[in-house]
Amino acid sequence: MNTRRTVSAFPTKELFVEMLTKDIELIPAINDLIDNSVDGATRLRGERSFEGLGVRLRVAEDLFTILDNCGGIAVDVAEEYAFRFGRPEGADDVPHTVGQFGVGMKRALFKIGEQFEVESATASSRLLVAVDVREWKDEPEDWHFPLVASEEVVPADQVGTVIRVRHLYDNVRREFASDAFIARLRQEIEQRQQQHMARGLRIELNGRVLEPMQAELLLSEELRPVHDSFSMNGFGRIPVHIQIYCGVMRGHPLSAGWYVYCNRRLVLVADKTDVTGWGTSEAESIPRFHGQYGLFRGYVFFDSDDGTRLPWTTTKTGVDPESPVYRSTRRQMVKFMRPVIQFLNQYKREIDERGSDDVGPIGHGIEAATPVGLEELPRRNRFLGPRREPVATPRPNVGRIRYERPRDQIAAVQDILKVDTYREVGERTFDYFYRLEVEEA
Amino acid sequence: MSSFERINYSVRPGKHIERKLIVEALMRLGVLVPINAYQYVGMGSTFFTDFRLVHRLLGITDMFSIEREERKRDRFDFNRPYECVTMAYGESSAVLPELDLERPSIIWLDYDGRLVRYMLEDLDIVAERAPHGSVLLITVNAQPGSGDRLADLRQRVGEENVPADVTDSTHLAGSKTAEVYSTIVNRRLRGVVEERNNVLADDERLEVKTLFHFRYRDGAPMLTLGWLLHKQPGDIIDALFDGLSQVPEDGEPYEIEVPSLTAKERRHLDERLPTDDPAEGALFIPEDDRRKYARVYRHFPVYADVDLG
Repeated sequence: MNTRRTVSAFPTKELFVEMLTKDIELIPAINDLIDNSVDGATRLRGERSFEGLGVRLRVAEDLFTILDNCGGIAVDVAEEYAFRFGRPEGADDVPHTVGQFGVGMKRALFKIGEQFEVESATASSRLLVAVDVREWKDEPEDWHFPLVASEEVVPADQVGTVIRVRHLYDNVRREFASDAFIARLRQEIEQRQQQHMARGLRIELNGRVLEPMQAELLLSEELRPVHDSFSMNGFGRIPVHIQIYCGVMRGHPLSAGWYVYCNRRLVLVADKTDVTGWGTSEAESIPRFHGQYGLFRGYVFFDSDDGTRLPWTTTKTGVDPESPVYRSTRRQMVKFMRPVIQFLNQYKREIDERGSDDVGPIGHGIEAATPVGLEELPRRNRFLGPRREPVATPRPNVGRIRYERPRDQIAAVQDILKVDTYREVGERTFDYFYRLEVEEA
Repeated sequence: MSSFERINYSVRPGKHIERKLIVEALMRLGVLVPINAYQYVGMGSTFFTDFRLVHRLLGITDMFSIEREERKRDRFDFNRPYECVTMAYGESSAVLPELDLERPSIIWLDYDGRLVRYMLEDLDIVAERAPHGSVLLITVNAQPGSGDRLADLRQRVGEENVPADVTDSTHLAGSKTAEVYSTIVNRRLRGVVEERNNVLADDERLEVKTLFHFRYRDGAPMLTLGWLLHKQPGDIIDALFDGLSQVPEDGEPYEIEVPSLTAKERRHLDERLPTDDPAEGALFIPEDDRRKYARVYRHFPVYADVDLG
């Protein structure tokens, strides 16, 4: 006789956690947590600036924390949605949010360690979810997380979310202890969160404020940056592919210089030293960096399947200038840089000649050009920019004196006065006479 | 006054011979790249002598003269010998990057002065871009000077550019200055081309052949170095310049020495040339002078007073 029984099809928590976390790497997982903070910021500000909002990360062997002031998690959201797996119907759809799949936070937390707590406050509530994953796994039937919540008025400066993870898994511990990992994490965050940072969101990693990576160059009909691409093979070895971009970009002079990437990892940031071709004195054809070159931006990407061929230092936080791959690339960087330097010299001259009120063709050209992401720049092996136009400045209440004198006499006077133009000869000699005969008479 | 106002460039016999030796060799270039694809870039001053020669004998029509004395431009504009010579006013390091250097070029950086750092950088600028078939030349004053030559050299070209074995001013005495300059400049040029080659496909890589290494003195000792950048195998290129004694096989210097001879003496020697030493019936002319003449007789300048109306 057959008896009817039931078989429990309930998944084990073990399997579940494994399936959930196996597809995500640590860095994207951390970025997912930041994305949640960004969603909070979007809920608060919509399309407006994120100024004043921020995320602080602490990534260490024994503890992972992420803290934000982006509005906090409301209790009902926590109860019904935030800690469920999957996004139930009715969860609010805030436009432009990143967390579409409702899995990010939980997955990240399970990935990082065995004990986590989420403490959050909105303007009118507080909550705390604290989970010890080992204990949680021991209760196969109970898929709830304990939640402690209260309704109260919360001061504005306490609104936000703190997530702490302890008892980190061994592999995670190893990564968090590695400088190279932290550097990569920093770079990935800067790149991935660049738009949000540009809108004013402040992100800090282990005490250091991150800079948004805006890899863009100005492009227009008359302003064309360089985009060149080549490979270095060398005796049948695995090739190194190099891409160089170079031009100008509006922005802070501190961001000026060369950005060098090896396998997409940023190794040199806004470099203005002779490692990337800048001079060490004023007198060279590419001089020492100074303020007037504040618009210069250059990007170099080294990519290779063989990481040992890349010109980075052993700590992967700098460049080895002696590497033949780097030296040849630097030669190209210098070559492409020259016309940009010339252009910026001309721009400075235009500004000096016209003063701050009168914008010349170069100034207009720079204003009118649009920032374009590197991936969209067409190939071009030579920088092009609008040309300076010499200017004659008429002034009111003055008369123009014109006369002619033999050129060698003019030259003799030029030598004494040490001036370049005939106009200055006229002006200075007139002033000389005026001072001696009219003023001092 | 700048040098063009002090020295009448048309009466410098050593330079005159050098120019003709150079253009004679350049005529062979048409085999590599059609001559009319070339541009010529030089520093013509007011005499533009090299421009005249290049245009007449090579037929090149895209010519640029770099001139730093912009405030005297009326005079330079006046003296341009042909419509196809364009003046490019400004310092060479500002003008050179503005030119289209990606086309086959003959570029003669004919500096008046002693070797200075910016000249090496100018060489970088052209060597970074010049394609197959291009000829680069540089002329500098190789006067050894006096006093602490080594300190002076370090200051002029930058310590990092002075060869390691030059440790004392005696290493720069007399003609050694020209030797040291030659080392510095050669290293620089070859280094740039080598770095450039690493980013080129195998069939695009450039070799450097030393075409010219001239030394002469019209007053101060001068040094001219010239190179051809090419893709062909070296022996084909060597064959191209076969029979031209001014193109050294091994980069050794070619001394241009201009003996002082009367017109009658020159006619007499000519009748016995070519040969190493046209001694017959001319023993009153020192052997040295006869041999010197034998090396350059075909290009020897003849100065005459002609009433051109």
